[in-house]
Amino acid sequence: MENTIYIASLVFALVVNTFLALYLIRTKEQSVALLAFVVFITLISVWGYPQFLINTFRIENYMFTYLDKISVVGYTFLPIAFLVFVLAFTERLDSLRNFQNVLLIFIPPVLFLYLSWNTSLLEYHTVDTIIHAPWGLSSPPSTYFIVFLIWFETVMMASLIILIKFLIRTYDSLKRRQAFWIILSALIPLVVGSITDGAMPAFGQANIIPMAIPLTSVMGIIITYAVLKHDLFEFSPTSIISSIGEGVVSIDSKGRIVFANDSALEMLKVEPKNIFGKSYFDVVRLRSEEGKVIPLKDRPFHRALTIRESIVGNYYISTEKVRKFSVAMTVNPLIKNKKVIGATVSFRDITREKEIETSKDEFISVASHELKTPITALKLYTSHLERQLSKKGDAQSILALSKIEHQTDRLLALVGSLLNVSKIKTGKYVYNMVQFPAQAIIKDAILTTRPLIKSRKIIVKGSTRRTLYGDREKLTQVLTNFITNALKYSQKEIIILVKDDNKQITIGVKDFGQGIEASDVKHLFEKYYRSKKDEYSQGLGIGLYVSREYVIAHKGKIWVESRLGKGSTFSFSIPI
Amino acid sequence: MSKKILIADDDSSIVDSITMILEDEGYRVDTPIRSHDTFKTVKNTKPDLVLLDIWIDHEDGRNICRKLKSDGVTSNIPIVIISASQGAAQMAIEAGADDFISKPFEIDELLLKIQKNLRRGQTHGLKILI
Repeated sequence: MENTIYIASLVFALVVNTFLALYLIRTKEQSVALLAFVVFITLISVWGYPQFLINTFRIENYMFTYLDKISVVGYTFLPIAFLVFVLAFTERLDSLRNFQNVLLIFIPPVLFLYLSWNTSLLEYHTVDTIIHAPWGLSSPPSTYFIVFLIWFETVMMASLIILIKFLIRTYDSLKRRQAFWIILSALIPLVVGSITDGAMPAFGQANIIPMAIPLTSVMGIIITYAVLKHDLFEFSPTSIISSIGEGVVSIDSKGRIVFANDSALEMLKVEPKNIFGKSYFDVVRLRSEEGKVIPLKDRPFHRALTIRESIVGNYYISTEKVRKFSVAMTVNPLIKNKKVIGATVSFRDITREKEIETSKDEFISVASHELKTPITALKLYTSHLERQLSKKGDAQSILALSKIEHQTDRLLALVGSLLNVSKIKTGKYVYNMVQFPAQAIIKDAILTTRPLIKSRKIIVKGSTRRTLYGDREKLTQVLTNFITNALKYSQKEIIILVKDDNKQITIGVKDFGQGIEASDVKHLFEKYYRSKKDEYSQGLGIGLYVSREYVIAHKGKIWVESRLGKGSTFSFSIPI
Repeated sequence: MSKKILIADDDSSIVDSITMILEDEGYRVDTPIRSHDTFKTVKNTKPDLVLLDIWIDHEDGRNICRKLKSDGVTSNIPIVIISASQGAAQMAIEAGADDFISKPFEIDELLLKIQKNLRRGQTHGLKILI
């Protein structure tokens, strides 16, 4: 049999391609790119099987025509399948939403198929016209076959150019690797096959070896290798999102769930079939950190859609099967062509973190409580000794003792601050809300800080006759903290600014110190934060944290404006 | 005869330092041998004033305070509660204590409270005599 080798290579190619198609179609993560690729290799089989039959068995004339026509379907649609695959792979499928483009892509192959089946313009399909090439039998090309060939090569080249451009431009190393293997594997049968099966016959060199189909087995082998060795097609964006630890749920603009990853399904204990297409608000119930049910219009999803920005916060969520648990949640609006098309919610279970936080706060509370007792004893011993020594008139020892006392007081202040923080965190702080003249805050604060002020100059600019409703002591503490800081960081005068604009009262403290680094400003009001430069000064940096908590409890705002080398202004405002 | 003050606190450093100061001021100071004996000791020794820690060996000092205030023999003895927590003032008053001092405190603050409550105890006692 003269075509044994050709038949053998055909069989090999077809087996490899068929198994590859079956393997890929069964992978878990389906995507348009993968499906288009499966169609692509299936079309190669559609092209190849009839060729195999023609070359293997003695075929009747009508049968030959029939098989050859099926074969034509395979290679006519081949470039289109490859193009769709490339567009999907490079995330350019959007271009197919345009109806004109779809017509432009699909009309030529349908036309060519029609001509090939019903006319002799492109190819002949009868036994008597068959050509005996060294390795097999082939249908001879007709007059206008060259037109088809040019179209075929153009679409293929365009696809490859898109792919190569993508390979050069993308920074996604995974996609680069995938693109590389696809180009490498598809290029071999396309280039060589185009020459042997297309160009050569078209130019009258028909008695050459038809290589396209056997070469696709090489492609099949390379892709199989890439699939097994480099997880080609395994790492799709969907598979990555599915596997991440955070729960991810995508919702369309009407609030229906369109996607949920594995973590989300597991955390919410829901089945995909029960939630897709369902209203997100029916599936996931949301409560604020304080345990209050959040009304629909205030849910982060709606806020994200309205303001078109990400909403970040801690909430309690629950579903039909899951009791409420704490999550840190981010809701990102999905915006396409300036239109909000939905939102993606990602969340993380923070129950454990919350427990740790609570036990840490409790520890601080107990520890600082326990610390108070020995410090009290220490103070009592010191004052007792001081009294004894003053009776004897030992001035030198008294001086040393007064220093011990000073340090003891410092220690006490630190313990006190720690206790304050833990109280605020555990929500134990009780606010004593009363009506009082706002101006009292300034008077009280200056009175409290008088021992620190000494010879320094404090200027008060502005005043108010307004009555405030709030905790007088705590608001005074905020201003006291500002003044104490200003005295600590600046050696010049300090200005207290008071402003009343009928909506709110703003009180600020301006110093002419070294100013604060921009990188420090945003952390300034955090718990335990202290600037790196600040190692010599006192305090745990919780003064500002406590101040912030106080001001927030009054529905007010707290902020700082600072310029390096010029000084800073710390301000807070309380709504009237 | 100098006034007798009983200190009930499970922290020996507090008892010791206060004792030192009060003795220096001319008071007589007594402490229960074991803190849970506080009630018995007060009843037996009848001090002029009791300084009582709000937590003694995991026992709520307020219970001791209530017990003392409801007993005929000891109800007139002024009780000053010592505590490290700020919210304790309210608790002390609720438990029937006469006064309250929070840790940390200054010597002068303590002495002032003792003097004030001793005086009050005296007038109280006088009233009963009349």
